[in-house]
Amino acid sequence: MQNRFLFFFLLIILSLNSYASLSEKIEKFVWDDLEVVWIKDNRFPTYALTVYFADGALSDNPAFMGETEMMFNLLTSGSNKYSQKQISDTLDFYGASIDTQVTHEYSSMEVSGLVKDVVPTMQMVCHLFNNANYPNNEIKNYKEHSLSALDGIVINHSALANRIFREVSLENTPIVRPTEGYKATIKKIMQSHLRQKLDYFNRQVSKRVYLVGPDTLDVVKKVLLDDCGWSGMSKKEMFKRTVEIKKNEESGEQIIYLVPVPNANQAQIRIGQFLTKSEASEENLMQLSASFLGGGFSSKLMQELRVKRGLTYSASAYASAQKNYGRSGISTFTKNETIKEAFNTIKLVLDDVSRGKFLEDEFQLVKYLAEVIYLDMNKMVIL
Amino acid sequence: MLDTILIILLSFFFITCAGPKAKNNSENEVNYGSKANRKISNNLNEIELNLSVVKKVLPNGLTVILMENHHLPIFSYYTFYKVGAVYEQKGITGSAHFLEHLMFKGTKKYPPGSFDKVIEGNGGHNNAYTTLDLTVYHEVLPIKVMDQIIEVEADRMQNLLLEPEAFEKERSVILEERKLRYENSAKGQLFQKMLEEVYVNTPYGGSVIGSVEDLKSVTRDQVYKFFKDYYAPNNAILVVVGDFEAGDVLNSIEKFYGGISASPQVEPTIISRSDPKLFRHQGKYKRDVKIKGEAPEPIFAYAFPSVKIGDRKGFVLDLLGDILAGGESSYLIQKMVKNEAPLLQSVDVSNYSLNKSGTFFISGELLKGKDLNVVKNSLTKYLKSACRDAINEREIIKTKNKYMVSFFKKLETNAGLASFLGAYEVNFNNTDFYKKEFEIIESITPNEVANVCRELFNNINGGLFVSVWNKHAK
Repeated sequence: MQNRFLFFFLLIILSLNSYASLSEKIEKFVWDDLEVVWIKDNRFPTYALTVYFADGALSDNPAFMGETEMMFNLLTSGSNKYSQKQISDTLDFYGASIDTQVTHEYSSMEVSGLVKDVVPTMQMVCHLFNNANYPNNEIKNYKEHSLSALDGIVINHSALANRIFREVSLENTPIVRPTEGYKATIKKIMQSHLRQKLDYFNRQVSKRVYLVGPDTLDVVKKVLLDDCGWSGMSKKEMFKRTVEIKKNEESGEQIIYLVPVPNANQAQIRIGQFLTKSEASEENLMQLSASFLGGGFSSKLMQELRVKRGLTYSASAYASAQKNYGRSGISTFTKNETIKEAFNTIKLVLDDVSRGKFLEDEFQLVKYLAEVIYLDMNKMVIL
Repeated sequence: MLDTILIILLSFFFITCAGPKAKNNSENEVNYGSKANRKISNNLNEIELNLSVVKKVLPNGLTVILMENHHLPIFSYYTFYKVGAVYEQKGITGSAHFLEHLMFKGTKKYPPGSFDKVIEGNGGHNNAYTTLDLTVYHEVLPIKVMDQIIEVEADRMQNLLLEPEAFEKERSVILEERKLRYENSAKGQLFQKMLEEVYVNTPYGGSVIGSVEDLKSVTRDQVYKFFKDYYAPNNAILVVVGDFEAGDVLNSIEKFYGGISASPQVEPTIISRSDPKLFRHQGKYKRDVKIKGEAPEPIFAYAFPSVKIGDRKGFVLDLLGDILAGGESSYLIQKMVKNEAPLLQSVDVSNYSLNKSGTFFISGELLKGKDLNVVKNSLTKYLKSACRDAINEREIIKTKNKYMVSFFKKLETNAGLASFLGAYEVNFNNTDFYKKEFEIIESITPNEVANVCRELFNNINGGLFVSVWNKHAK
């Protein structure tokens, strides 16, 4: 009996030790109801601070689509105390970078730089969250740039294909609208929209902070709580986006869109579909399938399209999920003369794979790749 | 009782050995000095890096650089071949890049497809790139396959098959890549034309991708000769960074690479390209070159002659480039992108230094409806005024802070470290050259930057202004 107890004690110690060694550098804190995940990394005097906001472009009024993205992009455009030039001069002086990402369901902002300057940098960031006022001349400037960039898509055939594919494959879903908005909606966004949006994200949307950097980064706690005023920002009652997206069921129907582009010497090909939450639930299986079809050089599409037939420079497949929906697709291009051959090859690959006509060692290779990359990424994050 | 003691002993054994622990030995890990000594300073010369490098040159000329980094159980493997488009002539332009593609097409021992299986089947990833000066192959893999990778890489350095069918397939692929990067890319056209004009009549005057004529006509035998001449240990630097014992890896490298013969063609080629006069700037400046291309609004590159890698003036120009367009508060961005009546969608400044020469250029994209001549005149005016108005002590400190951030970012991964060490070894034969670089940058004063600025923009005959627009005449 005693030996059995010791044996189980040993097993528990074993597993705890194993877990502890994997997670020893990730620490979780709750700073006055603000959740913080900190990966301690004492190797370099640099830091990265990411704020996760539990809402994104789905919060936009469809008539003003693009307002969340514009709000984040123009956060440094001016405040009640500083001009755009003063703000950017301060951040540049500290070697700080601010990168924002807006998806439909969530948003994030990463601030990075040298640890020696994290306090004044984050004090400026917090000042902006509380006092950014979106000067009209900056909004006008931004719109001019955005609209010019959107007009330029027509010459980037790959970006154009992506845009069109998005519109047709996500039709009738709330995520069909691109996060940057359309020309018509961008033009309508006013200063008041951006200020309201900032206030919403600053005070109502749930947040979590991710830190990577050395021990000395603990100075940022006071700034986040006092200067940003983010106490309580991870409480459950704070707003978190949920959405139910249903798919129009047109079972078995395949729709082909042909988009003529004058003088194009290559054809861009996009094939895929929107996935509902239940269809996108098996994330590991989806990623494995995508890797098998169009991951690296050993993937089926790369082998058949590029290596064996020389039809393209690249071919890829993806299958990914957001919280409430997903997408799967294939992307490639080829010269005009070989469009038909490329299509037939893709069809052949999909037919063969769906019937299980592939070698076991091909599948094992991709499976191992996915497993090791997953573990490797885990290790890279944790250790 | 004996059972109990045994279990307790076993528990201690497992506690110390269990779990996929990474070694956390700070002596064998890249870091910013010891914890006690980790003062944070504005002075680059006070940065203390723990980069412990093992270097050996094998009898056949292969330079081996190894660095242990036990942060994660993986490694990065970089092979720098000192051959690029600079070694090509008319008729075989694009051969270095073509060969880069063909290096993945198998050997007798590792037939076509097996290289990818070795890499991806072990959870790794790999890629390669070609420049005017270099061709570089790199991979990241779990440490357990180190010996196999050394063998595979050594094998393809000497035994590449270059089968005719694979050769022809890859020719088609490269022609599609050329469309992607140049023919269908306004920026690709711009950059290629700028370099051709700047480096006309020098070995840098061709494009890395090659001309369409040469790509269609080059033969397998010509590319194979290129391979035999330049893919040799005496023209290569191997850099490996990761979780290994340097002595073991060195033994393995010597075992697999030691028997590969040096190429007799390398030294004559280096000698034939060693005369600096071959690379003196012969481009015609103070003129406009207009290309009809796929840009609905004009994009431009305004190029000026610069210096080769390692020249002190090059470091000064790096700082000048950052002051001019290295952040939202930078001079040209404030004057032409962020001002009340902006002219440009974006602007960027690069000091593009090569092994034997360099070019300093300002590139940008016009906003819709803006006039190209107005932009050029404004830009010229602002470049001149920058020498007086934009350069001061605060701006120098700003660029140094940004430099420090980007410096440390490079060191965060094995791949970053390997690339970092390889670049210094290729260009300066010294992986510690970054220390010298710190000294140089710390010693640069606002006056020196202003003088170089005036030399470039005030006193010379003006730059070469290349633009691409769909409304230019064909």
